[in-house]
Amino acid sequence: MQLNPEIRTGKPRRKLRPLIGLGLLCAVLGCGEGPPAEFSWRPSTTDMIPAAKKAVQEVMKESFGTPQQLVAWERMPVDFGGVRGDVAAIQTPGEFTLGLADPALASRVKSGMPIVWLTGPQAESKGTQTAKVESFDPKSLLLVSTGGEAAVGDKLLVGYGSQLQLGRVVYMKNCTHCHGVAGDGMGPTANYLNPRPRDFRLGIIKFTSTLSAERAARDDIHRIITNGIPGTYMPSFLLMAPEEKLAAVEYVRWLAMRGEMEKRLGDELADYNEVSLKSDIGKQEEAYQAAVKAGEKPEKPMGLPKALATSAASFKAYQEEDFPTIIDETADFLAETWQKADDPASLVTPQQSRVADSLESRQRGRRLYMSDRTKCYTCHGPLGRGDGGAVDDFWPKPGTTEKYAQRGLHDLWGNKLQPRDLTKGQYRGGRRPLDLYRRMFAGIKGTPMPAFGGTVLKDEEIWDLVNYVMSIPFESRTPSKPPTAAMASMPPESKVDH
Amino acid sequence: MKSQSNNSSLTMTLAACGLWITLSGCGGGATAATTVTFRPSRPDSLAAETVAPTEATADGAAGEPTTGGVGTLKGRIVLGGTYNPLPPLYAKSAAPKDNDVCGMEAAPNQAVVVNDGGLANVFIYLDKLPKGIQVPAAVSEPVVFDQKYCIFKPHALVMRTGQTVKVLNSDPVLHNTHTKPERNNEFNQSVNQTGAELVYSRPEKKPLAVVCDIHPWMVAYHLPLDHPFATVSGEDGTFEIANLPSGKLEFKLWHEAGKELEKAYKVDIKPGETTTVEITVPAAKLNP
Repeated sequence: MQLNPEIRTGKPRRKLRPLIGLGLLCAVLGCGEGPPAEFSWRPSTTDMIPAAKKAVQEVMKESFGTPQQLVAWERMPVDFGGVRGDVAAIQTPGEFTLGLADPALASRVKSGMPIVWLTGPQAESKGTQTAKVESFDPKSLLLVSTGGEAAVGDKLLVGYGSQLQLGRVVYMKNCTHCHGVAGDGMGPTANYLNPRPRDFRLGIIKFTSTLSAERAARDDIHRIITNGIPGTYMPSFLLMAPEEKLAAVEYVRWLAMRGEMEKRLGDELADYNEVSLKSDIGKQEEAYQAAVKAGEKPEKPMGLPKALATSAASFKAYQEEDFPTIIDETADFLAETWQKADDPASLVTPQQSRVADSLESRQRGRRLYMSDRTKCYTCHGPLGRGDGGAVDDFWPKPGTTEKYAQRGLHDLWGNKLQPRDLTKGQYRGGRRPLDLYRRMFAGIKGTPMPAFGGTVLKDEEIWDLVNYVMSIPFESRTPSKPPTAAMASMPPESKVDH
Repeated sequence: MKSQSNNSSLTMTLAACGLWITLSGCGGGATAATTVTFRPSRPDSLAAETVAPTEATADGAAGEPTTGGVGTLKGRIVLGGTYNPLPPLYAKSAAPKDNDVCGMEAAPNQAVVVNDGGLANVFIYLDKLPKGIQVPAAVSEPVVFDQKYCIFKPHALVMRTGQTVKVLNSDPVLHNTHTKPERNNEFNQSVNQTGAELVYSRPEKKPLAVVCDIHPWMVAYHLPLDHPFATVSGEDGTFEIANLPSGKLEFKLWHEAGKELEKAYKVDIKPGETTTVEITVPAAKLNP
């Protein structure tokens, strides 16, 4: 398109009109919905033989659904929203008293919520909406529905899954771009972020208030969403509406359970991995060729097609006999473990209240830091800079004798992990003394930071360490006498020069 | 410049269109219509009040051994082919960390341990119990898992689910015992002379590694099972499993260097008799 430089005019040129028209058209129509979101699959699932892959994907779809067609599986300890009740008494057709196991749940029933009948005359269309709540009185539990008849004792769901749906909307709007649709930490922006966004699918969240072997409590996830994680790209959603935050917490837990279920099923079916089968066959072929060249008469190995067929037949038998039990056991284990996370017994609570911050306490803490009882300095460094000797070692990958390609510590997700630089005063899991206490007592899940509470350190000692760690940022950067290993053997009463 | 001012209006218009398109939104997954389907906790719990799992079946119940009689499996795991002893991980007084404690002894490389031709630390266990077996009750005594001179002792251990594993530390330095199971939850606890307790709640399909995050060379293997029909081959490769239910049984053999050595080693156990076997593992199968 030639533009005539001689023409001076403030109005758009004629030739641009089609362009502008096109632009207006786009603006009016928008860019459309785009393709539907999908849950990504783990490599352990996609690498399976076709029969096994199909089986696992079917189980996952039945139990959790897709991002558009969610499945609220009652077995999972997720607060899906809504209530489950039955018809206690009928007033008039279309009006009945709702019977609830816990009357306190009555406040969750709102008008407009869909009703799903589980039993009774309207239950033929199980799982699809047939009626809505027209009005509900929380005091008398009288429910007026738009639907038809009900008999006393019929079971129904009111608004079941509504919180999950809200959580899904909130998550897709605010979280997907980093954490991904399935919570896999591989959203579109993830590759540009260091540290990477969390992959929920191991069921592990690092900064929790629970014991070392337990999952994260709801409060922990809520706190992370509210406060963000300083030092990372996880922002604070303090201004998000409370009900949206709660819904997001449940959705994240749901995604974590879904991811963990897929991972565990993948572990159970590790024998049916097509990729490793192919590599094994390849090795056998090589060994056979080498033996033939050497003049031996080795047995001809099973070829790939036969191996795949054998594996498929073996899986068919497994699917009929063992797989249903394994699915049940895995789901029960997940349900039990996640349920336990919110148990008060799983919470890390100091038995001894905080030792007052004083010079003596900090000195005791420093001695503990440098001692062989805790070995804090081996990772966090003698000056707390996160440069301890451990970062120079090559560490083995868990469960194998293979070592990581890079020096230094790694987390459960395979990322290289630098021990925290305590001189910065930036604490990712929260900067209250209680938060630091919890990191030391129960360790940090998924990382080499171990738990010291209950076995190695008493409560007073952990508080001393907390006081020392919180004072590290205020130490002079080049102390005249840096702490030495000899300090560990000095009696506690002796004075320590700074 | 003339061309600039003539183009400025063009640029402005295009910018305005671009802004309009952006602000109108590109639609997207967040507000897509969703449905939620209810799935009952268990297929028959639609009418039930509780969502709790049903009580455990007889497989886990304590009881007398099978009425078909019991027999014993005895034998030796032999390494076939040439074996070159592995050099120690570090020599005496040459430990990479905590030399005053860990360097008291040279650390053997326990990936492949062969004595008199027998292969040690091979797990021999029943993966699937034959139907109808009544499993003997678990012993209430704890099993001991220690670490001395920065080496886990024993290197390979079998225990029952629910049985307490007393994790001890016979060293004056800190160790942290970190298990890496598949089915169970991880255990990661710093352990001093007082020790710690570890309990596995679920049986594992294959042995799991136990490491120390402070001393990277330390490794041991645990296998929690919900039955007692398992053992680990001794220093010279010998093993014995008593009170096995009679009949045709299939054993799995697992070793840390070769991983799964045998998927289903078949034996026929006769009641009141001892079946003796010698299993040869070709050296090529082990990749330390």
